[in-house]
Parts: sequence; C-alpha cells; structure tokens
Amino acid sequence: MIAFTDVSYEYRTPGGTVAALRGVSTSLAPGELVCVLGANGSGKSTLARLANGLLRPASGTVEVEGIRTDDPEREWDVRSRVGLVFQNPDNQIVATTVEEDVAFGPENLGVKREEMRERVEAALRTVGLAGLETREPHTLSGGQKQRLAIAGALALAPAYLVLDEPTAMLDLQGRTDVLEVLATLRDRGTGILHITHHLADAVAADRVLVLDAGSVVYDDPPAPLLADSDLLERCSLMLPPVGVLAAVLREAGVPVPADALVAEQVVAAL
Amino acid sequence: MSLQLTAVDFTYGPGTRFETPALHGVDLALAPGELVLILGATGSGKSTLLRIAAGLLAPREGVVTLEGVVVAGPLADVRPGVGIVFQSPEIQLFADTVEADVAFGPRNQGLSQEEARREAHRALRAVELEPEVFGPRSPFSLSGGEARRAAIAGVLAMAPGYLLLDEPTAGLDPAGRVAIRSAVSAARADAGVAVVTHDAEEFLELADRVVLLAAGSVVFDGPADVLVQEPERFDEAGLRAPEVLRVQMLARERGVTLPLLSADPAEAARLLAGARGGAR
Amino acid sequence: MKAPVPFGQYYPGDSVVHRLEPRAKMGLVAAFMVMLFTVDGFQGLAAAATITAIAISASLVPPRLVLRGVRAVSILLVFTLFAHSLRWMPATEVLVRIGPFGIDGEGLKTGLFFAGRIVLLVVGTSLLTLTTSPVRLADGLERLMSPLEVVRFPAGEVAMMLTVALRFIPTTAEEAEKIVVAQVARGARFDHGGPVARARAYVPVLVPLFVNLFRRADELATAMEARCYRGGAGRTRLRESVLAAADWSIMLCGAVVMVAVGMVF
Repeated sequence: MIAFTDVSYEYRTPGGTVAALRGVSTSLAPGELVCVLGANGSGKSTLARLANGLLRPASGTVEVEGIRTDDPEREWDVRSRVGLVFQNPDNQIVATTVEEDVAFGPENLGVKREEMRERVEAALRTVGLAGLETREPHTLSGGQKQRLAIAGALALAPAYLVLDEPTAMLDLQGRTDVLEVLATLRDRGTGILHITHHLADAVAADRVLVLDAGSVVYDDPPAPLLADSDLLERCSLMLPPVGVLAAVLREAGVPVPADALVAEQVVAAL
Repeated sequence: MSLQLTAVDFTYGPGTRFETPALHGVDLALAPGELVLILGATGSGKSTLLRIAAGLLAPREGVVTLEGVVVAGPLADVRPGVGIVFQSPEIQLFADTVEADVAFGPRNQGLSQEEARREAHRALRAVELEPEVFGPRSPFSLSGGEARRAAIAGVLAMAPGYLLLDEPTAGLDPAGRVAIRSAVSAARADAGVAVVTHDAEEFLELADRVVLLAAGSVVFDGPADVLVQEPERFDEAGLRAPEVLRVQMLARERGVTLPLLSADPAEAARLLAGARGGAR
Repeated sequence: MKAPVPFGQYYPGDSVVHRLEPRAKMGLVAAFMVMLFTVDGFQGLAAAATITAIAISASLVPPRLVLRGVRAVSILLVFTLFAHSLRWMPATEVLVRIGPFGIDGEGLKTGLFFAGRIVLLVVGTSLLTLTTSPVRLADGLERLMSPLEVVRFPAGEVAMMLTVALRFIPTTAEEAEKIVVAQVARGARFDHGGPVARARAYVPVLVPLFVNLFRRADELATAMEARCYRGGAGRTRLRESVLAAADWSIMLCGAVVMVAVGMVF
C-alpha cells in the first residue's frame, strides 16, 4: 500500500512559495487502478513525484509498504517498489538499445546477469515489445517508446507503477496499447496510479482521484463523478462528446450508465 | 484563388535502401476562408503532404500552384502566403520576449520594426494572448497551451493567405485544446486553413471539408456533412470514426432506424431517442 | 519518418573484425600505430599497407567507405607533400622547376613516405570505428579505463555519459532539423550575408535547441534517479563483453607481427 497522510508540498519560486498540494490523504493498494484527474497546475505531477520519494512532503507523510519516503536510509527501497513513468518517452530512455534500456534499472540495483536477462525478457513480453531487443530506441514509434519506458520501470519489479500522463503525446493506437498494458498489470496485482487528462481513461479505473488547486475534491469510483456535471465543470474536466451524447440520452429517459464513454456501452443501453 | 496540389507523388530516400514511398497521385485544393481537415493514420503521408503544400519539400511528380502560379523547389524560397505550423511548434520559440518572437517572421519579410510589432500584436490577439500581458514575457515562461498559441501567432503574424497546421492540439490538456480550436477556427477569417490530424473527433465539427488519406492516397475528399453520413469511410482509411458517430453506426446495426446521422452529440442523442421512441 | 538511418561511422556487419572484442581491436590499433611510427622506407610502408589491406578485406567493409576518411585529411596530405619537396629558388638539381619553385626529388620521396603513413593511420583507425558500434566502443573504453578507478577516476560515470550522449545524438539531430525547417518557414535565411550575419542567423536555431537540451537533461536526470541510478558503484551490466581466448590470440598474433614489421623494416 502507498499511503498519503495529510501531505502538503510547496515549490519555491523567485516570487515566494507556491502550494502544490494541500493536506492530501489517499492511498493506492496492490491490484488497484486509480486515475488522477485535474487541470494543469492542480498538483498531479507533484503527487507522482511524491509517491516514489523523488520529492519529500513539506508536511504529512508518504509511506510505501510502511516505509516512509523521507527516510534517507530507505530511499532506494522506496524507488525500487514504485516505478515512475513520465509523459515524454524520449526523455526517459537512457540506453542505445531496447534491451539495455530495460536493463538500466536492474543494473543500478546490482542485479545478477541471469536474473537481469529474465527480468528484461519478462518486462518486454508484458509490454508487447518482445523481438525488438536490439532495436535503437529512436527508431520506435511513440507508443512503442512509451511501452519501452514502462518496461524499464517494470524491470525494477515494482509493486506499484505511477504514470504521469503517459499517453498525452501518443496517437490513438499508441494510447490504446499503453492502456491495455496498464489493465494487464493491474490484473497481475500491480497497484497503478494513472495521471491523465483524458476523462475517458477514468472509466477503467477502480477509483478516481480529482485534484483541484492542490486539494482532493473527489476520491471514489468513477461512475458518480461522471454523472456529476457540476463537479466536472468546477474542476474543468470535460466530458468527451460521447459523454455529452449519453448525458442528453439520460435526460431523455434512456437508462445509459454514467460511466458509458465507449460507443458499445452506450448502444447496449438503447 | 487557391493553393492547389495536382497528382503529387513523393518518395523518401529514392534509390537508397531506405526508400519509402509517402504519397501517390494526391490532389488537394485549399480555398480562402475554408477549413479543410486532413485525416490519416500514422504513416499515411499527411505530414509529408503538408510540407509539400508549404513548399518545404518538392514533389517528385505533380504540380503545386498558388493562385494559379506554379511554385516548386525544396527550401528554395519562403513561399509567400503559405504559413505552416509544425507539430509541437513551441520548439521554435527563441527570442527574449513573446512579442519579439512573433515579430521574427514579419521582420524576415522585410517589415519595419514598428510594422512587425503591429503584426505581432494582431497575431497575438488572434490566438487570444493579450499582447500587453504576454508580449513582454519570456516565451520560456509560458504554459504548454500558451506557448503553442504563441508559436501559432508567430506564423499568423506573417499574414499567410493559407495556413497549414500539423496536429495542432497534440499533447495539450483539455483547456489548451479548446483555446487552439477556437484560434484555428478564427484564422479562417483571413486564410484558407488546413489541419492535419489523426484524431477525427477534434476538428470534425469545425471543418468545411474533409480529406481522408490512407497509405499515401486520398480515399475521400468531400464536405464534412457527407462524410458524417458515411462513417464507414473512416474504417476504410484505417481510422476510428468519432465515438458519437460510432454510437449511431452500432445502433443502425442493431436495427435502429436512423435516416440521418449527426456528429453533434446533442443532436445525435435526439435522433437516437426519437428513433427509439418511434420503434416502440 | 522513422526510416532506420545509419548513424555515425559504424558499418554494421558480422565479420571476424566486427566480432573481435573492442579492447582487442584497440590493442591492435595501438600495435598498428607503433608499427607505422617505427618503419622507415617504402618497403616497411608496403608491408604495413598489406596488413591493412588484409584487415579491410577481412572486415567486409566496402573499401570506398574505409577510404572516405582519407578525403577528410586530403589538405593535410597535400601540405605534407609540398612541405617536404617544395623549394624556393633551388640552387641544387631538382626534379621540376615551376617559375621560382622547384620540386626536390629526395624531398618528394620523404613527403610521399609521410603522406603514406598518414593515409595508413587514418585507414587503420577508421576501421576500428567502422566495425565497432559506438556503444561497444564506449563499453570497451570503460573497461580499459576501469583499472583507473583505483585512483578514483570515475570510469563508470564517464562511460554512462558517453552512452547517454550517444543515445541523444539522433534525437537531437532530429530536433535540430525540425527547428531549422520551422524557422525557414518563418523566413529565416542561413545563406545570406557575411560570416557574422550567418552566425547570427543560427541564433533562432541554437537558442531553442539548447533550451530543449537542458529541459531534456533535467527530465532525463529525474527519470534516471527514479530508476535508482546512483552513480557507477555497485552497478552490474546486462552485456559484459569478454576477452575470449580467440580475441587474445588474434590480438597477440597481430601485435607480434606488426611490431616485428616495425622492427625489421
């Protein structure tokens, strides 16, 4: 379990300090997929960096399986338990071949070569990049690069994976592939914190965490949020057009569930 | 009056082992005041098409005409009157202030400092960045959406008669996307606008005309209204139809009678509710 | 476009020379240099050239690619030739007279010898970079440097820097190309005016390129930290290149032959 307890964080800027998170309490359990939504500047990325100890809370605590992230002795225990994936895959791929990039994490941990081989193979299989081991990363498509970044995090054998807008720069195919990988990992018991600005991604989540100006304004299953147009508007979250269609249908008395944001689900209610 | 591509062919690295055909026999016309949406999957040749239209690549075969005059040659000249906004254009921002950056194009066109400033202010207003507020700021202090709009302003400041944009909303948050959409729509007042994207949903409602590109060839070119009535065309081009249209396609497959389809979600809901009521 | 553009000097292949361990190759290049600088006379040069030719044919790299490096030093070659042979108003017997200049026969011989030495030096060393991928080269360098860790030389960190730099060359090149095209589309000209004007014209390219590089470096550092990078100590490696018996024997035989050639001629 990753547990945030009354966490606050502020950034120092030349003009003074800016509060990024205020009194955030939430959690992520193994096998749970939590979506984090919120406008730009709502504190989503800060939350991600706090989860694996890259940032330390100004007040409150973040604990990963009982280990406090601000315990300098346990820094690497925390990082190896919580994998982090960022928005731009180009800026997180380190090595010049696919397999060596995946191996980067285990190399840092001093993992033995035979085990490293196994981890690399398993990670590449999980993300569907098996067979591309010796390719140079810059020859991959955007979606492939992002899945490579995920494989790199998985090779650390983390119990949790935190992804900061991993699909923002991808085309539809790349996005679909990445989301599929996340679903697979959740089913295998990895706890996943998926930061996104696609409201549609929330449908697949067990829980949705909505941040507004650094505070948690919603932390529950997705359906009630998607039905609450006032709250959505207040947090500048926008229903995709199909959600608008579903909402209008609902008003007309058609029993479309609130979390139906895919054509198939909407039609099933007709 | 138009920017016109006729029977354009293009191949990357001809005669090498990296030879990749990109376009084959493509016709495309863009008239002032119109917004054309060019849709295609990754690798369909849409970015190549845009570069050829902007005169940054020379077609291997075929002709490009601007206002009836044949123009050609890679990197030969600034094509007066055609502006291009590349994917993630914010990487082109370089000057100390947003104003100076936006004025870079007009200055290169030979305008005086004062004239260039005026053009920069006009362009910044067009993308809804208040020149008094944003003009003196460093371009590197802008948010993602603001930087994108400043970069678009940098192209608009050159007063192009034709404006080409490559995936203008990619990587932005919802608020940023809305701002870009409105800026692109407004640009129609002074220019013919072509938007290249793989996301059919985003600009469909704004578009006057849609061109579907698949494997380097045009597979559909017609009014957006016509395409909306034939959503299976999206599948033919290897694209996913907008979700709102897919709902109606699936409803039809299930026997719901929908004589007309709509890309507008509220209208589509009314059509569906009506058909459902009628069926009972 | 995602065409696999060949990168750098490396010519991919699977020849004996390609498979040879990078450290063995570096050892051979060192012996090759010793040979070149100890031979004197054209017989020695011919022997060295023969050895080079054998190496090239064993590498299966097209000779035209190997010779490409020579073009880069052509000015140096011409200079070497003339520096040794050209005489101003020669008093002694010379080969040719052109106005006040004369070409001295003995000097020409010396010049040719030195020029030949440069050609062989360039060809021999480019064979190393042509047959060794940059990654393996960096790897080999790291392993060669690793004994220096005793004196606190950060061999692991240096090798990591090299690898990251290599990784970002294609990305940066792509980005530079994008920025150039974007500025050209905004009317920037890079081919006008004097040297100062031209240098200034590159400001709109260099500024965003560097800003983005720094941003990238920052993000990359964060990503590396997130993946538990904490310097070279305690790191293991996925690929460990081993100096096998075959590598040793090829290196030793080659070195013995070359040093012998250097001593005999």
